[in-house]
Amino acid sequence: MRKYNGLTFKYLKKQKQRTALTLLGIILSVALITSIGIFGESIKHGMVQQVLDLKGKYHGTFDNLDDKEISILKKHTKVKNVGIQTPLGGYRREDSSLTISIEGWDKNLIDMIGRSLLKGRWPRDNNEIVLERWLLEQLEIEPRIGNKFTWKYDMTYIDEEGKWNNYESEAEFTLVGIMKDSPGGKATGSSLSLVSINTVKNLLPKALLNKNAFFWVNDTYSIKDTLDELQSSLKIDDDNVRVNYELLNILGENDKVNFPIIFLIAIVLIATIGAIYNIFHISVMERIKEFGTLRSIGTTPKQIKKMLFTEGFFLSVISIPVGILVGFIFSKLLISNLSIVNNVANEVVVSFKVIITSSIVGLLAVFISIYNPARLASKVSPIEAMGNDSAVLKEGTTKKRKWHSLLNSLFGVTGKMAYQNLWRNKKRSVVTIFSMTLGCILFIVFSFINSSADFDNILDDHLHGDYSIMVNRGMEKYSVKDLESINNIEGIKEVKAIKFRGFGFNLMFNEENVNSDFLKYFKEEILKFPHYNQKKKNGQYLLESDVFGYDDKTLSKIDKYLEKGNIDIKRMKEKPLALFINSRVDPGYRVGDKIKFNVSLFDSDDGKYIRDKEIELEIGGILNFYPINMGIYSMGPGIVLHEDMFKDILEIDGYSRFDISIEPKIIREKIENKLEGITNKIPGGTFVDYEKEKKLLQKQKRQIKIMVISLIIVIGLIGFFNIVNTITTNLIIRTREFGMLRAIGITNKQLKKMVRLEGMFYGIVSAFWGSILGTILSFILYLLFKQEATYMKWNTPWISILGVCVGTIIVGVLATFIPLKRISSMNIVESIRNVE
Amino acid sequence: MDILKSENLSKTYGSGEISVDALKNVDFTVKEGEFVAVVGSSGSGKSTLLHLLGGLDRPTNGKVLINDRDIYTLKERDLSIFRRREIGFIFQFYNLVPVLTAKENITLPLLLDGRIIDNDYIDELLSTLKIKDRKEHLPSALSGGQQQRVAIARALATKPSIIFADEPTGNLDSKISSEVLDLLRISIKKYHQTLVMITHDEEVAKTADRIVTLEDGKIISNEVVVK
Repeated sequence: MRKYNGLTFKYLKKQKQRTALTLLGIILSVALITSIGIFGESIKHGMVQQVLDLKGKYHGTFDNLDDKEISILKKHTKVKNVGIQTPLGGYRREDSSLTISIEGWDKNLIDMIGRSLLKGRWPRDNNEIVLERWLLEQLEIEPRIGNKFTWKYDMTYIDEEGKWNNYESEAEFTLVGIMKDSPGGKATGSSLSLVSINTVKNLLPKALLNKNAFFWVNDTYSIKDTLDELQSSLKIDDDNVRVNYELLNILGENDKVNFPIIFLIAIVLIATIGAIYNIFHISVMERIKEFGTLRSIGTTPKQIKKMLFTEGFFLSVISIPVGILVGFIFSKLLISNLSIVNNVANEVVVSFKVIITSSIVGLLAVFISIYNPARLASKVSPIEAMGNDSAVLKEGTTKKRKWHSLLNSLFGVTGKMAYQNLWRNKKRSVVTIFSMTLGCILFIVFSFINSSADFDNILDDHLHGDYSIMVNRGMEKYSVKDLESINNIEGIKEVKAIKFRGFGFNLMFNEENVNSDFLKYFKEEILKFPHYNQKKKNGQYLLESDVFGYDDKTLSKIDKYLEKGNIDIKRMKEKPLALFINSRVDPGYRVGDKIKFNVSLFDSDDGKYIRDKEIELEIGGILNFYPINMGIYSMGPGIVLHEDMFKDILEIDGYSRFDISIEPKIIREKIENKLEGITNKIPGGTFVDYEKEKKLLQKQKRQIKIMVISLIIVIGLIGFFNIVNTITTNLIIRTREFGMLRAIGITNKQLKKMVRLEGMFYGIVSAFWGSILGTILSFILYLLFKQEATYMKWNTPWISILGVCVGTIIVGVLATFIPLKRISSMNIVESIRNVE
Repeated sequence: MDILKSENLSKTYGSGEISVDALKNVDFTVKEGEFVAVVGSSGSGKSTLLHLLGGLDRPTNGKVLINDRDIYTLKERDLSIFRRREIGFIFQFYNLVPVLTAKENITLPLLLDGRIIDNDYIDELLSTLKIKDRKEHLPSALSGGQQQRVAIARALATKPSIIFADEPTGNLDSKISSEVLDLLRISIKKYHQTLVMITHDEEVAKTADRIVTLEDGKIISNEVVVK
């Protein structure tokens, strides 16, 4: 030993068990932070990948750029990639309700958006076109390269006088390629067809030519700042800027602070720091006498502090890298073995950020944890520390006589002593209980997350059984007979039939009977569309709304969407009672309000307009979302009626959508053929199979559960080590006292009982606080998460509380086993001499 | 009548070359009511002898008989019970339980034994030892002398046949020491107890009935004090 610091290492070497426990504690804590970080990063990466796949690799778009501006953008140092889009117009066919847009894209944009070819090549020369595969099927176009067809296309634009106009033309196109379907295209009935930019230039008048630039900001720059900078340097109106919010939200490049996640991380951090603090605190307490000795031979308080910090640093240097490695292996095992796809990570992403953060947190935790014990140790008066046996720091006793007599009668004198021992060193006990309590809190909170995410509910939100049959627009409906024939197919469990009308159903309102936000939205966003200008009836504004007719089965299952009021199916059947859905902006209607609608009636056979009528509906309830929708929305609100009332008001018999559930273990193919047959009765009808999505969601559900449970196990382990560590130390410190007790005749059995009771009391007190705080915190977390995760539910977590109580008591008692063995096997004489 | 008897008592620490013979074939008897002082230099085996006589440690060889019972034939549990009923210990560093009050410390051996506390007797003990007004205090609120008096009271609480004291005043100044010793002597006389005490202090030793001197683990003199 050349320097006094050498003492630190001698101590660490001598107290192998203690050093190992300390290392293990830090390793586990760091591993927890690391794995949470890696999980987070991997999930984020997976989500980014998903958005990139879905929406394309761009941060934003600027619309209406001229060639000069585009070239500036392309040359900008902060911009990595620019893709150009010029719309040609929309193609409509009378016999179909599909929306088909024709656009000119450059190669860059094709790559950025990530479209790929199944056959042929991308358009290059004039009038060459590439279509999506499903569209070819739907429109019954021969999927042959070189196939020529003539399409009409139209484009709406604002002329120089500020009026809306429609440009219409037609051209012959040559099919040069077939591309993969865009996600969700078929379900919503919208398709994209690509031509070259030159084709658009040739086909459209110059005035209508619009160039939009999609761009990707260089990775080293802040996306938001760059966006703002580009916008102001190119002088682009806000109207012409579109930001890929879905991507930016995931990348965290938005102003929204994710409180629930921060809250969760804060809990984990506090628990981790608490655990490490505890380890050092007791490790110092254990050596108080030693520090007293050092002080008495002239060690300065500063030197003692330095020794302790050296120790902390040394331990960190070993345990933090190991902790990171363990965390990495843990998350790698979990993520790669579970091959979590979609929504969740599918590859392990270890960023520098995670490693650095974990190291800093670990190191900080160690140093924060050492600070206080070091101060205590350096303050120890040499005489006090040396002279006293275990009561080095002032040990007070709280006098809780009531408890005492109860404990005395329950557990005898040993029980009473055990309880009093708990409070002999308040600080130490508080630290122990604090760390156990944190373990309990983490357990309850994570169990809550695990159980609250009711995945069947999410499944229900996204899927409507096994299949859907939909017809999107126009007058086309499936008939009551179609419904009957579906119901008659063998193996069908349930069919929910939905009636729908997305036009000719207009909300009538005055400026007086809506709130200002809604009025502003209406005037700024809606009135600018040409066909709204004339739309005013009896001095009232008209706003196109969606109206649905739900059957009894569907109405009985939409409680979870209900925000206000109630769903009285019986009354809805007979009275004009409606459920109101705020689409974009809340007009401020309340339950019980009566609102007017202008309804256009059409002949159900030939689709000819008959007449308009005015109706009044009473709002029976307000929903926060469309329980079942048609994939497209009007500008106005949504109204849900009972199917009978829908029929009375709109004079429509047919259905727009069927959601079909089948019996389990049925040969799907047979049913699918029949259902597709029914679907194809109406051109533009869409058949959707949810099998894949359902399987995916179920897989995800399992995987997320496993992930959360694994985290709970790690948390449990940390808690366990912490408790074992604390209790072991608490007991070893008192070896001499136990020796004396044995000298005056305590039997081993009595000693064991006393010590075990002490462990049990730690468990009980911690479980008490942990349950209360864990419940409160899980509730706060629920409140924070609720807005985004509407599927979350909160119940008092009785099962977790029970688990926590049983767990902590068992752990508390278990933790006494090792030290007890040591103490009771120790020679009394040795104990009394208190040689460690 | 001999209350305590050791035969051929030996204790060796360690084994092989590094073994140390702390006690070598000690034969030793104490009569009922006798006050024996054990003296000797540091490392002479005094404490080892006391621990072995009191059943705290197990001898390498030999026997200890208390009231004609060979205590090392007892099982651990029975030995514990025997200790708390028949033997009282007083240590240099008091060794009180810090979470218990003075009175609770004194009655602890009784409580461990599940016995009903004879409050009159305990009060009498407290009075005799002049700590009656401190009985509700925790050890940390007591002075060294007071703590040692509590330890004496604890040793006497079960009315044991024999009390072993290991330098009970080693940690106290001379004035307090003589006060504590006086009280100890008064107490054992009053309750007819036997006392075996280790001491460094010749003056203290001279107040005993007999002085046994140890050296190198052997008794080198055993003299009755002539008063």
